[in-house]
Amino acid sequence: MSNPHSIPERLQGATGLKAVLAAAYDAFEFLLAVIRAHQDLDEDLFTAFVMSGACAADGRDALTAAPSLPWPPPVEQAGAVNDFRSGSAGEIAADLAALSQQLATRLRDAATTAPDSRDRAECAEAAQCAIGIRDLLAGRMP
Amino acid sequence: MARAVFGDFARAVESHLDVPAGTAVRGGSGQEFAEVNGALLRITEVMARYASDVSLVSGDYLPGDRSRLAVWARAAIEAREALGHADELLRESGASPGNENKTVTGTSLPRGLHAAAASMTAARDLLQTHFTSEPGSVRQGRSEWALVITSPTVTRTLLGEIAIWARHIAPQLSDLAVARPGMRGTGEARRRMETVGHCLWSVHAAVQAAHQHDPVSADDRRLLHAIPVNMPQPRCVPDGTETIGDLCAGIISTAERVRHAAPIPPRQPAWDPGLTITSLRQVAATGTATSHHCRILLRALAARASQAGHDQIGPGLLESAAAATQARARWLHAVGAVDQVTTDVRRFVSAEATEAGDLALWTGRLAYDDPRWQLSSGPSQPARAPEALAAEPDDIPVVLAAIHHAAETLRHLARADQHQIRAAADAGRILVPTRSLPESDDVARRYSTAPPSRISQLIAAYQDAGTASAQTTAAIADLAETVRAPSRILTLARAATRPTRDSAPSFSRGSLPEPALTRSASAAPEHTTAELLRHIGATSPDLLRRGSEIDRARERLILDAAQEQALDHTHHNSARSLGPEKDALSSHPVARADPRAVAATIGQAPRQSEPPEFEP
Repeated sequence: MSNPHSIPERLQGATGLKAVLAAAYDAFEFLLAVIRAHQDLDEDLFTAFVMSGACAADGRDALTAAPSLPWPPPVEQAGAVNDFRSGSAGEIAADLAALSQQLATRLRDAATTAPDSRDRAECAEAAQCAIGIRDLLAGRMP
Repeated sequence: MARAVFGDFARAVESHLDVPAGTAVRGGSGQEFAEVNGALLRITEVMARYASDVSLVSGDYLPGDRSRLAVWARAAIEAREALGHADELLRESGASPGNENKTVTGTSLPRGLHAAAASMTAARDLLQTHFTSEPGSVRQGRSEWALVITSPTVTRTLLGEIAIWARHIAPQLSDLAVARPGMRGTGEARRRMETVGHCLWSVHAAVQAAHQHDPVSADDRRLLHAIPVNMPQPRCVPDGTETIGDLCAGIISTAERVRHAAPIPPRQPAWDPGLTITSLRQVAATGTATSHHCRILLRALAARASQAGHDQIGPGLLESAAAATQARARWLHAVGAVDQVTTDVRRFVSAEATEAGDLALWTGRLAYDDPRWQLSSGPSQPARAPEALAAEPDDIPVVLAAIHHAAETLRHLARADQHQIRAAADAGRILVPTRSLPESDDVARRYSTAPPSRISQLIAAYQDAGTASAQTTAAIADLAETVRAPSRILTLARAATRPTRDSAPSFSRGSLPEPALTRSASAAPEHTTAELLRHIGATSPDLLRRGSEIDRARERLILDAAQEQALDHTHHNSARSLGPEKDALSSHPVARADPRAVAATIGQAPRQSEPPEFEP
């Protein structure tokens, strides 16, 4: 079981399409789990959390359809959600938004470099989902 | 722009028939009789069509309703027969329907009758927009109002409406039939006119008899009059310039569009290609957001009611907000359940999901202070201040009506998606990741058909969301009744489509049963023998007449059986004997479908203990 903070590190350190897809898949699973665990904590953040959870599930499903994703994917974040951090809902949202931004960046890159068109399409869709999470949790960026 | 409703045309009919005394005709010339006959023929034709649409015999009555079936079915049959008799008389006189433009004398009666016939036809056409009917097929409902229209409540009320129209016309015919100086040679025409008038009295008397036994209420009539034309408003999203009133109207319009886009089975095909995981997630997430907005709005209204000193609704608003909190939690649970599955097709966003997203947007615009608020606006959005939400006390019912529609739509959505999921699961379209299946060793495949236990969990989550949303709706309905909110019609419509009418409409919380699925518009009247004969190309008057006789005999048979069962039922229960009522019915002049006997009946004043005359 990895430290939850290793999710950004795994994303950052992943080399090659398969490693990026696996890390991104794990990141979406992690995002989904954290969002669902914290969505009911703060009235102001409720809608943002609920909507971003749907984006995380869609992103995960998009990557599942990518032919180059190693299957079964490694599930390294299981159990780490409860230890994620003990901050306010706003702080958690900010951290998740930052992770989503990083995730979107890696997936956009993969969407332009993957040899298989289906991998490219699924990465592009998953990147959009990550952007959606970022916007929902941090407010729309210019 | 407001949509046309049945009441618009019904009021127009009464207005056209409201001819000032003494101005109906000039002198009763032969030409005037011909013009009146032509207009009357149009009237009786359209009234007969209404009476044919009404199916109290093969429709939706349950065993507990048998005594009601007996009286109202009898009224329908007798009204139909009386109108048929009038039609025959008018045709024998050589009357031709013609139209109002051919009226040359300009007297007010034929003009009024023609205009009334046109409005009656328009009103019936409005009701028909809620159904599809292809040659040789059973009439199918195509809107949420179809169930309401075919409900016993509205069916009875529609008969009552015909009776009111008949009662407006009949005395004018009697007046016309009275001999005056200079009317030489019109004896036969006057006698015929008098008999047609008796037929119309007969229609009224038949319905009045049923009304005395099982009254139509003012609320029933309000419901009938509120039925709109089946033409949803075009899709509209807020642009940030809307007033509170605009936002409330936008919520109601969008809520109707959502319900239209998410039909309730059995209209649903075996599985809907529009059901994708993308749509399901959007509906679940935006449904959760909408229930969250309802909660915010109800709390704000409670604060506003307190500020304004409306202590009688404050607690109810807080209770409704608590119910909305529960609904939000149940929707959230459905969101989590949908996270764990997928479908064979992704990405496609159904009309239902798009409309559900719009509803979340409209309710959010009302709940939050930012006029440009979006679902993607992110955190820390301040809610609208209570005094801004309802500046005047009179604004509270308007806002409450919008919340009522939103809550009702959430109930509807949960139910619609529950059935869609079931249909998709039956078709093997709901999938789960193989690695989520504990005993699966086929990890090479990424997805597997969801096992029954997972489907049950998913459906149960939607069922819970629907139940919690129904409880919120019921709580708001109580308040809507208290403050006379325009959304009260929703409550009446729901009550009309309940599977039993044994009790009066109840507005108590948590007691809104789902309409029985088997009581759909598709179970509405099957084709008559005469219709089937026409469908296969039979044109012989003799064949068609025999077909009609078979249909009438069938109706009589079912009616007699129902009445017999009702009598057995009441005898067994000894709670309330139908004996005297049965005798009264069978001895009633109109029960013999003899228009000549009606004159003796119509003068009878109702007993004090009876319900009032069926009149607007």
